[in-house]
Amino acid sequence: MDAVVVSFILKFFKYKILKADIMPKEEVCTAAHLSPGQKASIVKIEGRGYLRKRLLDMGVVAGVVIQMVRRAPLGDPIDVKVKGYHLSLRRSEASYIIVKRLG
Amino acid sequence: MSTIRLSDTRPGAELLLCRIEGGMGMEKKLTEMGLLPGEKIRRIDAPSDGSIILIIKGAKIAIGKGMADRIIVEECMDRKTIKVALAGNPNSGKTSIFNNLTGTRQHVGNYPGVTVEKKEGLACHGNYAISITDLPGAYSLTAYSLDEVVARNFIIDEKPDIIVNVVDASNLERNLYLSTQLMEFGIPMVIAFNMSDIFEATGFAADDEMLSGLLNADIVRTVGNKNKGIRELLEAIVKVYKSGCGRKNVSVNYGNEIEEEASKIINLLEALPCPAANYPKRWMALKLLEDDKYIMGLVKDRPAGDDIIKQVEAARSHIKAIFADETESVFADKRYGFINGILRETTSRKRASNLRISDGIDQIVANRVLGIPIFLAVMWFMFKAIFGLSKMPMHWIESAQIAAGGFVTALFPQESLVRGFIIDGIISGVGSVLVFVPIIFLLFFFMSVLEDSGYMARIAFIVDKFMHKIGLHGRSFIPMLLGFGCNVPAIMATRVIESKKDRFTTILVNPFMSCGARLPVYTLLIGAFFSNGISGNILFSLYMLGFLTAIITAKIFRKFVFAGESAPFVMELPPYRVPTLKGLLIHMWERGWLYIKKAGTVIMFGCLIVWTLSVFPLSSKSDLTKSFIGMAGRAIEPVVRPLGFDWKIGTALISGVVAKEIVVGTLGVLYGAGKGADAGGHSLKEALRRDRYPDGRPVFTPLTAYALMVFVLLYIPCLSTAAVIRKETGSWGWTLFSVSYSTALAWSASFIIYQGGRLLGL
Repeated sequence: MDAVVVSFILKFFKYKILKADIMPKEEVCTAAHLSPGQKASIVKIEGRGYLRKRLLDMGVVAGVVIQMVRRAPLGDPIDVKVKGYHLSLRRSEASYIIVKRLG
Repeated sequence: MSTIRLSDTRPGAELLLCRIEGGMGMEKKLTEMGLLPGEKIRRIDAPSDGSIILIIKGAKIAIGKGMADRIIVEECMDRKTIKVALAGNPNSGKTSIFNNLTGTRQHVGNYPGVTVEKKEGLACHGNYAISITDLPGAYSLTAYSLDEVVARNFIIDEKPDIIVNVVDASNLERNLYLSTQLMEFGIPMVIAFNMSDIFEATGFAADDEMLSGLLNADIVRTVGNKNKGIRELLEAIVKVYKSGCGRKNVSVNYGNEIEEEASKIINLLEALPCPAANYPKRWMALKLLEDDKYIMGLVKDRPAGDDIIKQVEAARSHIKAIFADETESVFADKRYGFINGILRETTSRKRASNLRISDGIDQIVANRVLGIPIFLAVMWFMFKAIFGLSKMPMHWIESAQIAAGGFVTALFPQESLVRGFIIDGIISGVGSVLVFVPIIFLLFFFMSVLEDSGYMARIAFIVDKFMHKIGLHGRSFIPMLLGFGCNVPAIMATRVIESKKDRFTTILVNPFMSCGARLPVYTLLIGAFFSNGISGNILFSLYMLGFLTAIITAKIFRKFVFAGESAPFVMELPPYRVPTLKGLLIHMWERGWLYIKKAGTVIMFGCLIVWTLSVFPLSSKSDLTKSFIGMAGRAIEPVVRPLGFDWKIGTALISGVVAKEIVVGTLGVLYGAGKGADAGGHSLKEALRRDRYPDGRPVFTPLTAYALMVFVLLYIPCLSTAAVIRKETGSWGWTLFSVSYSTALAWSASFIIYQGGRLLGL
């Protein structure tokens, strides 16, 4: 029993280490995790309904480069740049945008 | 083409009605007769007495000479009317194009059944009258947003001859997204390539001819805020109209898989026995594939509609399997792909000059450290300016009111019902409408400045976190702040909030923000019953109580009344722009005018009712205590007794429904301190302090006074506010709800304070 747990924990850490070592620059995360100035390429939009449709309509579609510009003074919402214009969205909404960090 | 007065035309002339002068009464009267701007009329005079007779839509209308002077027309021999729908993204400069096209020949109304504003206007070019409808700004044409539904239904139901699509050239890619959807209606389109100066200044160049070919639309370069390209736009509209609809129908090609599925659905739609006739089939099929709830519902209701829905579901899962993504994403991808393809072929960037002043401004204005101080400074300045600048004109209006009263008194030296009716009914009724006018016009002016400059979006950006916590939206902030000044303009300012839930919540809690009219009541009571040392704290506690009530009720409303997820905050932060004076003035005028027209009538009416109640029955002989309102005060005494109020306070509270500052005036009358007793009226304070019940207990204690102030703070939004709530929600139900729950809340709060205080031995 203990051995199973230990091996699981080891595997888990190994995975973590691997993830950090192998893909430090191409890490897949959500747009909410980007730090100001960072650029990323959009992989996928998750979620449903109006929010998703709205994001798509506003040009937040797969393959597009999204740049985190700044956070609002109170930390939320955020200001991102897509297709040459500024878009503001809450971090909870940005977490539906799956991105791959660039550079 | 020049305009002339109807009275200057010859009998037999074919005329086009341009506008009606002479105020809202005249406009309304003539509009009701069917004389609307843009209508074609023919003048035929009566042979017998030479009076002016018009033929409009086959009906004959006789018109007096006075009226004919007020009607401005254009003579035309054979004029055709072109129906144009103006569509475009928010912030694309659509409004300035509309203003430049139509000038002052505008008409603001509502789309039937909804509270979305409908602006119509008229332009003339050559032998054509061009009637333009300004559709609500939209990024797309989904069924999620009311604005977008209204826009697309207008296009489908009204079948405009031409769609003018205003496109912000400096943000071409996203703006063309709407164009790809407009193309699908199969209506000839003219694209106004707006803000082309910024486009060129940032080093871009476009091959207009090629772009025009690929988008299957005429392209006209415009600079809306500098009035450039407007003539060319009109020419293009006429040209496209003349050339008819002989164009081929270009649309985004969604790829074989989707097109195949779409054609299957189109076939089914065509086989429907009674199809939704107006809708283009391909458009419907695509919307069904996009899971558009509105069209889904439309199809479901038809016989055999279920078969179509089944087919759509199958198609959607097929597409999902092929693209490994939801159909909505696939559609958005295809549309943006189409746009990208076009732009790659037609535009180039000659030099990479980054004219990004806007980004620079945001570095400071939306800065993490400076953002909030700057925002507070802007708010403080605006608040000061609105209420400071309006003081003078408000004072003039009040003086004019007094002067008018004096004039009437001179005309009717004897105290009579007629004199009372004119002075206390009509003049004070008109006065209470007019007194808001300066404040409202200034408010809309500043709101337009914030909106047109782009700072409004930043305000929402900066305060959204806080507002979201209390269940509201970033855009709810300004209305809440303005509520401290006056709830009437504050509620009108909620129009910037897109989502209905957020907007209604903001409207319903707004009256709790303690407005300026409540201040005289506080001043009187605090001055009379609290020592100077704590008066500031008492006043502050009232403002805080109002604010907290607003926050708590907002939370409750969002949880129970307007339940569900809050609207997405996904919002464009448009580049900063210098607003044009013309745009600001037009905006200010049309909103302000709407207030006078809509709220004004209700307020007038309410004032007359209160006047009537305070004068009748005639046996009361202008003794307020014996009038209906005094009787009502006595009648409600049992209700307000638990709050520590007597019948005089009850009477004052009833008359305070009209406007809360009237509470002071009524108390003044009841205590015989003279009608003019103002907040500082020393005698009234004394009278209040000295008033005793028959058993010798004082009527007013500091506790009663505080309970009364809380009641005045919370109860019924004043009549003007109620009128505006009615206007903005478009519903008597919500207005009644607002009136009743706030009064119930006021009663409970005062009850707790008074009885609680007594238990504590205060």
